Amino acid sequence: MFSCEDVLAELSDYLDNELTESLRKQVEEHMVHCRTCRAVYDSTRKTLRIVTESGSFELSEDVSSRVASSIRAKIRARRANTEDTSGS
Amino acid sequence: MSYIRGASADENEFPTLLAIKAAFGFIPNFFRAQTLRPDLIDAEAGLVSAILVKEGALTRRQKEYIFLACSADNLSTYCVTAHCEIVRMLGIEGPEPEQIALDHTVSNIPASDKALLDVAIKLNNHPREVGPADIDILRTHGFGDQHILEMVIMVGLTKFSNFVAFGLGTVPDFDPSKVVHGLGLGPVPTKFENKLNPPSDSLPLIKDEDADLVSRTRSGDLDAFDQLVRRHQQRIYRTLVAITRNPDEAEDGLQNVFLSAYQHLGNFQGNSRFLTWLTRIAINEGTGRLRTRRETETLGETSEDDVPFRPRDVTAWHANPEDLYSLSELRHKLEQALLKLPTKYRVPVMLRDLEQCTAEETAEVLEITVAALKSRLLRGRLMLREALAPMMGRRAANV
Repeated sequence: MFSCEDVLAELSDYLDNELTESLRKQVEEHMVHCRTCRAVYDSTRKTLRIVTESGSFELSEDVSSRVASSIRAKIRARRANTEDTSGS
Repeated sequence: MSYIRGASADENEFPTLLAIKAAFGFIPNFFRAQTLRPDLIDAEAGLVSAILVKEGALTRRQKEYIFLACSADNLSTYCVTAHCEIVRMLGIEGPEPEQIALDHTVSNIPASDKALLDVAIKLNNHPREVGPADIDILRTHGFGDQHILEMVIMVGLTKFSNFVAFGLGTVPDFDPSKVVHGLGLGPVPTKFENKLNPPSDSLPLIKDEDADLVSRTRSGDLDAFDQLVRRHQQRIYRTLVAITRNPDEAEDGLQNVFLSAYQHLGNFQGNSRFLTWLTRIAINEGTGRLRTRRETETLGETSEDDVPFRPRDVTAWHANPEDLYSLSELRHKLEQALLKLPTKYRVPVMLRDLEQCTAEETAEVLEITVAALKSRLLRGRLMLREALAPMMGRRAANV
């Protein structure tokens, strides 16, 4: 029979659907009777949902375009510099 | 071509080698590397004949597919290259053999064959996890005991072949011009030209959606590189934020990463996906910045925490915590909580859960094992949950 520690150790893999069928069953059998593990599972699942859907640290379109233009300009400058050097 | 030199003895003295030459039109490196012990070549040829060639419950096609799919998962370039050619040589009907090697699940083969390959791959990759349920699935697809036995033995033969090829360092040598012409089967189909004999240090099995843009960039096409920048700057930015904990610094580092990638594109060998390689550059840029700041907390710690993290706040959360706050409030709270996680846990969580990298790719860019990654991920996720818990409990709804 799985303990709370056992469930906690497998929680990440359970959330990622990466447990074998037998481990998954043991986790679920434990959670049927353990309110604490159910709460931890449910809140961790919601945490991951928030992380996935939050769009945190999203690069704004402005910054994105500015950075892309700057990279392009720097590469062009380097190329021109190389061509000048090789031509001289 | 292999790590050890074969015997210079005349192959005409060894009937098995002669038979191999007759079959393929040449003696493949796999066998050439073993000519110091022709008796072992005899034994192996007998094994291959009994397990793969001889008619049994499984068809030759099914057995070749098992060999291809498992060899691909073992990253055996030699065996995949050789057997893609052998499948074509035998005129086995079905999808391109490369498709089976890359991903059989999206190929146009019967569902029963997919189930067979699923179990074979599971046995290949996680042998101790195979259980009666897997065998039952095969039975529901109509496979009997003899089919299952042959599948298991085929996986064993594949592992054996892959490991011998790795250990001897055999360079792929199956070339359609040798195989097809050797058998007098006519000209080489042009669509297969240049597909084989990849450089020995490359892994042609890696599917990279950036390959074309990378190739065009190498030819001097700046627009192609611009597309790579636009496609990947979000991932690189988040990687830099994850390491430096400073969005301004991350923005600054973003340019350096892409300029460095452009400058060193010649060093990119295609042994990983381009994005994986690029993310490694970002990690180096980020850790370099930490060193400049003389921060001691880095990704470099290799020891894992022995004591498991125990959740303290186990209050049930609001059914839909997203309803408690506006999206921008929620994002702000999450960003603050993420930035407070120790680097060792923050970076895996941000790459895996925010950027949705696979576990394997996250482990690869962090240069740790998948097991170590999972351990960090579990702790990081639980720590993040703990940090958010006071704001998400049912009580929070009444605040």
